[in-house]
Amino acid sequence: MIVNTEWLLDYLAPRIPLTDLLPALPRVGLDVEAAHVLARDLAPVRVGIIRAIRPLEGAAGRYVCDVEVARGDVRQIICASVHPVEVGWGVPVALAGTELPTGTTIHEETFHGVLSQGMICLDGEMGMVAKGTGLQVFHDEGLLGKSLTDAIVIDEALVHVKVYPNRPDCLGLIGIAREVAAMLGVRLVFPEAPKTANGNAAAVPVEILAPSLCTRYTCQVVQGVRVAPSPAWLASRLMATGSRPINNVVDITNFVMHEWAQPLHAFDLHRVREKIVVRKFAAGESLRLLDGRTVEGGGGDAPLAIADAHAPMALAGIMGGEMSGIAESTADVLLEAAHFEPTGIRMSSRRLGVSSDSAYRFERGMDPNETLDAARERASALLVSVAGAKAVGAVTDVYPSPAKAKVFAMPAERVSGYLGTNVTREQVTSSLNKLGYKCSEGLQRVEVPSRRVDVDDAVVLIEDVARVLGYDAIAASPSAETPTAGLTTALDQARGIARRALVGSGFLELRGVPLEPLDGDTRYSQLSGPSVTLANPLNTDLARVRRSLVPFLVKTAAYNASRRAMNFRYFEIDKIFSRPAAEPEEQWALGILLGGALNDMDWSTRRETDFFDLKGVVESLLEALHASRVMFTPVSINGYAPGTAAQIVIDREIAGVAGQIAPETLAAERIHQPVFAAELFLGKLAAGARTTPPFTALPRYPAVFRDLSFVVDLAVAYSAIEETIRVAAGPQLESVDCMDVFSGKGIAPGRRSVAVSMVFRAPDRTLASEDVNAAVERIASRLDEEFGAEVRGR
Amino acid sequence: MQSIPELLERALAHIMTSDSMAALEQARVQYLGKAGELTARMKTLGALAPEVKKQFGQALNTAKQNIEEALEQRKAALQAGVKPAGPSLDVTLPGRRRLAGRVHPITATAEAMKQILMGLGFSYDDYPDIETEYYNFDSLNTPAWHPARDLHDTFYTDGEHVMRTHTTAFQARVMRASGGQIPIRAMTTGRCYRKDDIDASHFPIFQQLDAFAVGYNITMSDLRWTLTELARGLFGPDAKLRFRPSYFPFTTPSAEVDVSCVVCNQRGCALCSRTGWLEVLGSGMMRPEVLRAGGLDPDRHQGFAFGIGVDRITMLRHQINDIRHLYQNEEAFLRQF
Repeated sequence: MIVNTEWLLDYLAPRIPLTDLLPALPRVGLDVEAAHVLARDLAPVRVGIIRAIRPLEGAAGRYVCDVEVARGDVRQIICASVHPVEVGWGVPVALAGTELPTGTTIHEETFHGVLSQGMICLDGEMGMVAKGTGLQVFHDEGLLGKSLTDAIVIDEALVHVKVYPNRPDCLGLIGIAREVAAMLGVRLVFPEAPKTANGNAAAVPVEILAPSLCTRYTCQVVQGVRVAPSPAWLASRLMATGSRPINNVVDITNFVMHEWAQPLHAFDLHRVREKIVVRKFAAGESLRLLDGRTVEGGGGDAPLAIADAHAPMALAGIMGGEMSGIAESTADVLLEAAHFEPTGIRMSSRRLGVSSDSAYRFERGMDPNETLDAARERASALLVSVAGAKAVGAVTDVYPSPAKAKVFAMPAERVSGYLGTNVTREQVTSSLNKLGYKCSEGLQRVEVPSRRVDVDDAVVLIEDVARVLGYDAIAASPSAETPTAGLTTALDQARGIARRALVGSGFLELRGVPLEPLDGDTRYSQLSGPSVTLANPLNTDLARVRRSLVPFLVKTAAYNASRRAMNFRYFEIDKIFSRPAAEPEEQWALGILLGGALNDMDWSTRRETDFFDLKGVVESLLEALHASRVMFTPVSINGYAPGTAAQIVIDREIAGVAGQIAPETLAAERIHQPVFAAELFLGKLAAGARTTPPFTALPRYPAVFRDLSFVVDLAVAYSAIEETIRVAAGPQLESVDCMDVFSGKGIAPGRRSVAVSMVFRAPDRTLASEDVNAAVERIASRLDEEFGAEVRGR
Repeated sequence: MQSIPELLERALAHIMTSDSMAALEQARVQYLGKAGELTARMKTLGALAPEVKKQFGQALNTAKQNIEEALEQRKAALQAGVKPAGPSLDVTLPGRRRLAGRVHPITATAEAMKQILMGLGFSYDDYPDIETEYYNFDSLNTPAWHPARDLHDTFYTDGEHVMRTHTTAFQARVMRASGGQIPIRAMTTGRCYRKDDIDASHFPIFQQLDAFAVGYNITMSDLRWTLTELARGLFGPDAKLRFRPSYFPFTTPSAEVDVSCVVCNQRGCALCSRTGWLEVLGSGMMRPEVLRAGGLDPDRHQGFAFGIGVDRITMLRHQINDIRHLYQNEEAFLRQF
């Protein structure tokens, strides 16, 4: 909603300076999106002097003006004849490129083959309320080219505010003024609306056939209007706040809606046959709306119509029909002020795709009582004073079950206990009274004004008191409540440990986008079931929820490779998703990507990454998480190069996968070096994050060291060799580590040399050489028996 | 004659700076050879009194052992090709290392907030990204007909599930799981999803952090205190807060909270549009409907809640001007934090 402060000040006394008024708006609870102080923001508008005027050929009512905008600089501007202009007048000119506070940007445009380089601005078009004819006219050549803000004093602001959905009463200026008056301690001034029922026209009878959708319907006959353009004060107010003036009768209904929030509708009385019937559209009925669209009846949830004795005339609360509206020939008006239930309006507006200022207000909830009457009285008074109506008839008012006032108890202690600040009974009473509540019985009875549709619970009264007192009245003080320890989960701790371990190893943490294209890479995933897809995606690029972190890691490698950052050490911790059964499932994953030179800041040597570097990273990580019984077993997973992938098994449960990204995938991303990736299920690792390992007594006797080197078939897995060594060695083998693996020169084809270094120790004595020699002998012969290992150098 | 320690020191220095096997052998001969300096001392032992002889002999033996070990180590180093640390060392050459790892600034920011809030007694847990409509909306006093649902452009995955539009969806889950243990102080952070078109300040995926506290005595004043402590922890001890009335279906009173501008310290700058204030979070006292949805009794229990856009706080902390940087993962960006 756009608020012109000059218009708003019509309802406040005494007048408040802008410097007080503008800061009050956010205090009220309005979300101020932009506040244009016109004395500043109209600076780009300049005074130009009209040097020549000629009609625009082929466009009746339009003129081509030559306007001098600076000494010797004459521009061609086309203007419509809403306001007459004359040669020699100085007028406000906005040249192409100027953005006006109303939000309109002026462009060069061609009409009927003639270029227009700007706009001659009416007051309303600049966001100002007209104080004269609606156009600023200057007769002083000395002002040529001067900024408008230097030529006149402007004391207005145009404020774009968002009214939150709970406060539809603030969708009219009087609602906003009431709040401002309460905050600033000034007086709210209602507009004059002398009761003018003086006609003797027969009242139009009204029947409400859908009382659950239409709570109240009032209407009034106004006779003898002269339909014409609105006066400048009225037209400028509508223009400034974003509505297009149409004619005085329609403009009056719009003006009053901006003032009181209550939407009104004006029918041409002679189009209304016999009576008004508020009912649903019947099957087969249709209505052409003011915007040219057609509404069809039929079906169980047909929209609500305002019909006469024969046919629908308007889509109730949303938009009038084309035929029953005000025309130039209209002499007598039937003025409608009604109350419709929000849900019905909302459903119809959504289903039909028809929105309007009226629907916007009704679907949020209007006041069925005083505000409705005040708006109708104000409009009929304006029809007399502005549109020249001769007579105003009696009001037809159908209100089958009048809304009862809501009542709450709000003792001051409750307010204090909720806000945590001492608030007195006087403060509560005076705050609530300022907002129109009626307080009695020592705050045991607080009656809510009917316009406040948002007050559905006593806590809203506390908010109102807090707003009037100012939120700054609530001091910050620590809790009187019992303290609690701030704890976290094992999974969260595991994430922290993993993150620290990887960052410590030189990895960059990435932050991906969980939504991926419909045709995105689905490989690498270890999850079962289809992907989770969005029913209503923004576009096809963000249409599916990812099931693996690896595609994003690969894409990021490609993105950075194209920027010459080729040493990839990346990880991401995020969720992955799939739908293994009816319900979608999600779990935490850790994705790692490694490629390029391992030692990227080394000027002497370059170390390329291979699988064992990735495996080492994973092993260090698992060690940090106290994972036990870790196994890597060969696996084939789509996306990883054949024969390069390993499943990571922890305590007999699958905990992830590690492997080399298929080279053809990388080539397509223009990466020509090996890249390795791993993806782990963090949930399987979380238990270790909380482990507090028990102490094992430190060794008291010396160890004996032995190296053993032997040749075995390439097909023999190292894990099998190590297992055999452990079994053969017995309990005195403390550790066995792989020292060297070699194949090629001097080794028979199909075989490799493996060297291990072993540590032997007994807990209770110094081991004798002979004990260890015997163990090594056993190991050598077991290796021979099981794998045909030839022990070397013995 | 030099003392034994002096001799040892000289010998060790000589060994450490020997840059070839030949030079090392020369050093060995100079100290341990038949006519070596240490050998010469050994030969004088015979002429000493027994008690002096024992003490002097031990010292000589220790020195000899040290020299032998140094010779071994230096020999191994020379074989491995290590250059001596001598005058030819160019200490200005860069150290040999790999580039350091970095935490993503969004994570760093979320973790910083978590740490502060844990210190204030809030416990952490994770909640689903794919959430039921019930927890995302209905439990938060936002039934299907509610106009506030217009504020969210929601991604649906099927009839009942949405991609959560806010982490606030965790509130009823926490309360229901609490088993009536009061007070509750809980927080979570995670991804949220809304159908926003991408521009410099909007991204359809963003991270939020939500927290709430429920007890018998938890007030708006506590909320203000908690948020002040959080702001001071996050932006420094001079950070100030401003509360403005606002609207959320799940809080009343509701407050939008601004922090004093982190860049200009309220002198006025482009970041704060010369207002001195930056909008950082939404907060308020939990609605009775929300407490009821969590199985609590609004006549006995009351609490506050707040939600923060982690992306926005991250951008403010680092003065990042375009949200897209956060999700582009360009190395040149990530290495700055």
